[in-house]
Amino acid sequence: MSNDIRQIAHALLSEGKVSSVIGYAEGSLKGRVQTLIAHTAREAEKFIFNENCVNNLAVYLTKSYGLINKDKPAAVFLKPCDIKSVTALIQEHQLRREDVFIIGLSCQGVKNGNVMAGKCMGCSIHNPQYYDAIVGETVEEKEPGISDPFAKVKEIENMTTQERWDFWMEQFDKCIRCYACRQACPLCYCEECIVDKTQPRWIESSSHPIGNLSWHLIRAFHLAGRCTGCGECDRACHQNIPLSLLNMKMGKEIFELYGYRPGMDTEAKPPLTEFKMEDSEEFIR
Amino acid sequence: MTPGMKKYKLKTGYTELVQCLLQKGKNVIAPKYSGRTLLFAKIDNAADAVLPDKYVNTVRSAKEFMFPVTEPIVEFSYGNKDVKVFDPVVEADEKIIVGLRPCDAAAFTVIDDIFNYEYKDEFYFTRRRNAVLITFACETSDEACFCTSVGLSPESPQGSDILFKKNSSGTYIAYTNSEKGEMVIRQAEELFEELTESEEENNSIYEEVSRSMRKPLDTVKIKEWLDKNFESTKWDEYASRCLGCASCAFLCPTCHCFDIVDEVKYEGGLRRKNWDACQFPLFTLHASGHNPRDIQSKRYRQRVMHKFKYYSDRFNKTLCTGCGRCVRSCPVNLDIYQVVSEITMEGVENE
Amino acid sequence: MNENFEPKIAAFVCTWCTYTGADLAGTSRLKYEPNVRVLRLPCTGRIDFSLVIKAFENGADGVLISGCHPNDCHYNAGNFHARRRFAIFRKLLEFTGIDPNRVQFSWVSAAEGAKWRDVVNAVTDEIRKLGPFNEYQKLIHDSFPFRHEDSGAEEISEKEQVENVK
Repeated sequence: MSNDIRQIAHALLSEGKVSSVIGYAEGSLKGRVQTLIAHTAREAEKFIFNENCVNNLAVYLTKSYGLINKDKPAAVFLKPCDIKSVTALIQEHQLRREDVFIIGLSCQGVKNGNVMAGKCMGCSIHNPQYYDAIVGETVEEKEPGISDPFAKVKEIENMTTQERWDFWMEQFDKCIRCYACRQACPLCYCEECIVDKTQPRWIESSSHPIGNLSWHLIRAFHLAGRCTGCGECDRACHQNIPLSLLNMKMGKEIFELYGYRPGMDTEAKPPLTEFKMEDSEEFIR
Repeated sequence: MTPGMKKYKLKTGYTELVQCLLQKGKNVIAPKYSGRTLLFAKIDNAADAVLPDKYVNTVRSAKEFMFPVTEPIVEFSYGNKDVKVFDPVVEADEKIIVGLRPCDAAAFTVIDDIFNYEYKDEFYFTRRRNAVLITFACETSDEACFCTSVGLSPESPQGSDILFKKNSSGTYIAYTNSEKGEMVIRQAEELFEELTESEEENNSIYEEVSRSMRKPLDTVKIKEWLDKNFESTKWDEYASRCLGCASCAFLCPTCHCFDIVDEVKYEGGLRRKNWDACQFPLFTLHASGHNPRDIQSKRYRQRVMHKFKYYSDRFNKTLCTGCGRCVRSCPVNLDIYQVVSEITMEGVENE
Repeated sequence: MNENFEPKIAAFVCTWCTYTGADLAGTSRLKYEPNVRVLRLPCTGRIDFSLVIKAFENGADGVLISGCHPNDCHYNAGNFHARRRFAIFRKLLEFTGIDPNRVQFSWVSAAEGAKWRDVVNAVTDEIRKLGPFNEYQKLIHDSFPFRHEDSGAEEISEKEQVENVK
């Protein structure tokens, strides 16, 4: 598969079809891969794809990296799940379709460290659905490895209010406000994050209980109906705060109430930017 | 060994040592699991303290016990007419930090210089004076460790009040390095006995660990390259893949930058000193709107320059102890060791 | 439960319907619970959930959000957007261990002075039953450990302040 990857990257760059190719290269540690942004065909030989390619490269398509809005598109290697992030970026007008050349990769699940990544357990799309080119053999679509991807969310839902509060307070207590979760997220593309706003100061930037709770509530809610579940926030959090549980809960509620799944359709309107007359209002007096 | 060091044999294991210190009413901080995350934390029950041969290192370094993630530096409250200002009370209780690694203990000796540069940071030094650092030499390392590259080793005593090493028969030998260290030995004297001349001290395991680590870096050569290459296309190349998440700086035992914010609540508030990092655009954003480090390549350059050039210009020390946390935690595996060894390789142009 | 407990409730209301409705309640001399602090915004669509968090951060025991009935919005759709947002936000609060009943929502039109009275009374009653929001207040307390004049702490004199700056 690595051969096919190098070939297509080489072809795209040498034919001058793209301005850069974003992909994976060997990492410096066992089980880790590095990002490689190739601008010349010569660099294409370093590209790889293997079970350690857990990173979601869609993050490099946000404006701050300066790889898009060129006269030629940027090509990027994306797993089927990563393509959802690109879909969401196009949907939210952060990226023009013609600015990206999606090279879809068929994927049978990747590893995070020594174990299969959490996002892969509940995965049911193993072949790219939306792409400009595809690399590698089509793999057999298989049922998710776990019966209920929301099992952990439900576990928390079944706790008492006090238990839930205690659970999250213990988790948020570990937060040192490095915002690695935000930086790793392809959909946290705001040029000025609300947490960095100082006039007025919406969220206290200090790592104390109030600041931490507000940050995590706001981060989760700003991703409601948008998060595609790539799990990069979880992976970036060195304190192991289960951030994606909050995102999954938001996704679950959005689906139950409005029947919407993020990252599936570039033309769909995100659920919190539209409404229906008949939306539920059982909680309103 | 450093002159003046004394040696003692620990008659028991690690847990008993922690237990003994707790019984003497000491405030013990040691690596402990919070969920899956190994962190330095206050120990109430000796069994919670993870054995030193069961981990490579903690997720966060111990620097937060001298330089907390957030700490008040001024307190204020509004009276009827005027604002009252108070100095915060810096907790001055004795802390015994057990289970450190040599890289983390050495880190304090590195950042002591900056906290004492032009202005003595009493918040830092009050805690520093009252902390006893008890280090355990590394019996294992992982692929990210590179202390031997920056002049340390899995058994360096630098910065430790007591360094524990196992001899070949598995007994811990304590090497005291300071009066504070001696004091702890005296307080837990029932656990220790003087080491006799004839007793075996050596253990080849530490040398083996050293050998298994990454090859030493040539910090002189690195600095030479950095001296000449403030402007280099290399910076764009490395930083192009950096997410700017600053995990590296937050977990680093020697990164020491902070931000100062005022927070007001009800009829008073606090001026706080919070960890900050040069990888954020906000770090250098001026009030005018100008940002001297407006793009990631300038911010990444700052990180490498500060570690291997600026700090060495000013204090003649490398601002890195090779703990490997930045390498382990980087979500895109941007490896500083790899970066600095690459720039010194033949063929990398000096521009 | 402490029967004497008087909850603090922040009411974020839209200026066109509920604020005017509350005004009507006043001019009609309707009596109702004094626990709400009314904060006027242009539209429920403008009521960012961060405002709700800010209210809790500042010691509110409950929050009431109120605006125009569906199809009555001055800006046509602000209240429909708010409805979706708060339906989801309540779920997030619930998930993190905050009783969603601490955040209440109502439609009160400019003509419904009496409904405003009933809503405020009912909401105050419900929050009173939930009791003070001790969990959040503990967070505030832990996060802001500054001293007051009366705590006997030593104050820094003005002279010292100047010296410290030097």
